[in-house]
Amino acid sequence: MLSREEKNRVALLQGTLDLLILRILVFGPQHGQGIARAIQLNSEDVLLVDHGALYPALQRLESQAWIAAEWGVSSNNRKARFYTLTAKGRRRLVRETGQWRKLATAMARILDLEKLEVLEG
Amino acid sequence: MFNRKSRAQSDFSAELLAHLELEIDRLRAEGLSEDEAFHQAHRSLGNLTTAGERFYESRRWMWLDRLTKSTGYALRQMKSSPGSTATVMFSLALGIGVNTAIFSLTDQTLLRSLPVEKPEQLVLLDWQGGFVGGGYGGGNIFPNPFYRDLRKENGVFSDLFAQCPTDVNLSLGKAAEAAAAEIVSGSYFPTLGVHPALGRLLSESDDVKPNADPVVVISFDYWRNRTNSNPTIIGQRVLVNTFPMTVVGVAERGFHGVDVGAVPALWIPIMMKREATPGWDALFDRRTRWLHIFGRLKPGIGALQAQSRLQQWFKNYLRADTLREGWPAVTDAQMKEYMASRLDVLPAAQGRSDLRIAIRQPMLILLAATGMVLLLACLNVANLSLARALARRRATALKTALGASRSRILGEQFIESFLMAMGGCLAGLLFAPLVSRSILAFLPQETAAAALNADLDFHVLVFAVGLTALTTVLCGSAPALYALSVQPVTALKEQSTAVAGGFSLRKALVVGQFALALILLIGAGLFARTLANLRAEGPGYQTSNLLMFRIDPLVDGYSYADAKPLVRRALTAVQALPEVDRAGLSSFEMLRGGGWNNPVTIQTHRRVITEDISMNSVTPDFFAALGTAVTLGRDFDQRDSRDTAGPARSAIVNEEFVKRYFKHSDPLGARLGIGDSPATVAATEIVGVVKTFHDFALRKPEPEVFFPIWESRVGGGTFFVRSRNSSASAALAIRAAVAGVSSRLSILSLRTVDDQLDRMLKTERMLATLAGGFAAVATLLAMIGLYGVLSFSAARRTKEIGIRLALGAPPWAAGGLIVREAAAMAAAGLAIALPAVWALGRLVESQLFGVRPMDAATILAAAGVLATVCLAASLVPARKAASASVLDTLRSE
Repeated sequence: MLSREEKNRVALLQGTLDLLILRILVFGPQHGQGIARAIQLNSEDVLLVDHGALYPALQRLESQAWIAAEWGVSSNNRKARFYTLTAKGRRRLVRETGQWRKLATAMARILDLEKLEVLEG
Repeated sequence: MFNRKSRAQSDFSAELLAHLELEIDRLRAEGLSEDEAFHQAHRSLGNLTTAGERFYESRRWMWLDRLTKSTGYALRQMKSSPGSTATVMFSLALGIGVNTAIFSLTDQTLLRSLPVEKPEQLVLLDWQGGFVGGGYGGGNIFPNPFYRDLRKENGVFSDLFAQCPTDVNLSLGKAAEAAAAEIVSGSYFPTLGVHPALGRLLSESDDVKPNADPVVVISFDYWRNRTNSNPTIIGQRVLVNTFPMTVVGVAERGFHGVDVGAVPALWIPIMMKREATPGWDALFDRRTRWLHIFGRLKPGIGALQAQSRLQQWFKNYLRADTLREGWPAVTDAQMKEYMASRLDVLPAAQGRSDLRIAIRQPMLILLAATGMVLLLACLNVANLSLARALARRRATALKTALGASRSRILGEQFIESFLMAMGGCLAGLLFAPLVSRSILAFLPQETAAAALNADLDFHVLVFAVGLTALTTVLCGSAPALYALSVQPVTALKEQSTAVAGGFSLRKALVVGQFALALILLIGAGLFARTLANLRAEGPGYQTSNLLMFRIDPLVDGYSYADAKPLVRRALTAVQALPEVDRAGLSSFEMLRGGGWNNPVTIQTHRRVITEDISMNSVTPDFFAALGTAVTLGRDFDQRDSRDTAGPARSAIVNEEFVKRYFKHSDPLGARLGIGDSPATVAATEIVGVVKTFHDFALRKPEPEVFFPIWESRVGGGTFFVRSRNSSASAALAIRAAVAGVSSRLSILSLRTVDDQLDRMLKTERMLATLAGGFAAVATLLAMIGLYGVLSFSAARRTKEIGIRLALGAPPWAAGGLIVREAAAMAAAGLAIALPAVWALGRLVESQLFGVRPMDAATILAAAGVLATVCLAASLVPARKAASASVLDTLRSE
């Protein structure tokens, strides 16, 4: 029973969730639900974050010391575990972003090329 | 890994819950109802448990985790049935404890190498075939000149050494005491590679000229215990048999010579033989054997290779020996036998030990018996574990159905077995030294207790660990196999009591236990009867109020010339005591398992040469003191007591001797001579025949010849004293009387003859007692196993019994069903045990006396014991079955 909105969403590629989490945390400390929400909003509802996969991912990043966690209180007075980007995480983000851009450009070129050939054919 | 570990599972769950709350808040803010918001939040988070599990698994080494969990599970299982866990631990503790104890002693006496350099290179020489001459010692003996000749021929050995054990009277300035010693060649310490703890050891320079180098080396233990580790002992003079010698060194710690079971206090050079064994040395006598010869093989040469290379040299030696001056006149048969002799080279990494020779077979028998006890204990444990596996089959089936892997279920089973085996092992190790100590108390030589110890060492621990592993496998595999065979569907459908599969396996285990218990019971019966028979046999004379002791003036520093009058005066003094009824004297100690043997030439109208005959020299009153009758002719008297030392003029033989050599003629008046060569003069007249009694061993009657002691050379003698009343007061009077003759004389081993007989029968007593103990343990274990199976069977057949009762069967018939089941198992056990007893019988036959291995009475008695035990074990389950109420049983399930 998916809504029309949900149908347009795209599942995340393997490995991209980590990068997105790091990117969102650049704006400041955030809890898990907030991170998921932010990814969804900033991608204009295109990217769907599986909440069940989010927390193990956070756990993974925390264990790599790319993010740090602390219990705090949310804007609507709920207890939540807030994550912040560490210096190590920030370096990681810069590197990953660069790689991701290269990959995306290369992908786009090839995909565009294919479109041309298809048109020609 | 470590910061991951620091986060608790609960913290993770809390975060997920916090997420849900935040998400529900948001969804409600978007306008969903509370219910819708709740469901959607949960849905999008996915399975909370899965998320939790993923988190959990990300944090651990899974195998370790599984191990801990399975261990915890196994511990809970064990705790949930404390009765059966205790039974299991107890069974295993018994099994492992007795095995460890016996192994510890077997290791020390039979297996362990000497603490010397490269013990595997050591070999012992053995003369196989006929020797011309006499000898002193227990076997593997050679004349000293042979050793010196062989040492010059140095083809296969890097070096050789010679050794001879003896007892001396040793004094460190205080009163003299008996001490074990080794008479050794100068090459002894260098060849063994033993180092001094202090001073120097004996060397070639101490081994050149007879009586020239009065030096000794004392053992580390003796130095520590008797001189309090006094370093000034070096250079001090000690008295060896009253002869002064100088201590030049202390041997390496832990070195006890090459004879396991003997604890030499000192080492004396061969060239001082005359002082170490007063009265004779035979240093250059080629016809007297007394030395053990050891060699160290050159690297790369094996014992067999060495042996084949030595044969040519040996043949040459034999030929040269017969051509030497002083070669005696021998018969053709003797000559042929002598020339056919072979020189054997035996591996001797463990040295040479009379103790080992004596207790090798008993120890192996006991080791086999304890192995059976352990096997039986394992069967018991397997049985109990199987019962648990049966009880748990539904749980196991449920686990399998829910996706538990086989390896996990097997793992749990083996972990449980391992935990129990380990518990049993620890408990067993605690009580193993107790068993060892009680065995040490039985060992035949008095020195053995000092040479062996009951403590656990590395070897034994390794053995125990190996046993634990073996036990785990033995105990765990039956239930594990069973657990694997369980089909979840059938197991879950079944009613809890109506199980089949594992039950026949359990019965088979009990049958195995019965068979083992029966074998041990029969063995115990055979050894008990052997001991009883030997006791009943006795020495062949009345032993009550009979005391024995020895004096050795020669060892106390007197000459032969002084010794005889001293012994004579001592005997007269003892005979004059009011406490003493009669007293006699023999030159050799009786009932000690050693003596004087020689072939005898009998001259009647023809010349007969006998086998080796035991000999002894005795006083006129000797037979009277023992209470043995002279049945023909006369006892020795004044006519045989002239103070000479030539060949005896008269002799008394025993009835066994007459039976063997005078079947058709009168022994009285016949003449005999010691020796079997053509030159032997048969000048001694047989004047009497005495009833046969046991002089050296109890097992078979031996022919024996007695000579008058006063007409021979006397260095000492063993007194036999029949006291009028209690032996205790007589013993005091005897000590005083001997001290009155000379205060320098020491009284050796004063004890009752009964006491001496007990000492002689120590090995037999050890076998009987331990085999009995093991059989009792085995029977107990079998009883436990049977009880468990019968209770289970009774429960299983509740319904059947109910129906039978309902159809009018009397209650006793219901009980009979159970007893019949037990009887069938016992009968099957008997059927297995009997062929096994028949096969094993040959191995123990040499240890038995007056009873055959397949002795019907013993087998019947053992079967009777087991039948009684069987009945006792089935009593409770049978009564339970018999008293069952018809309605209850039919209604149950």
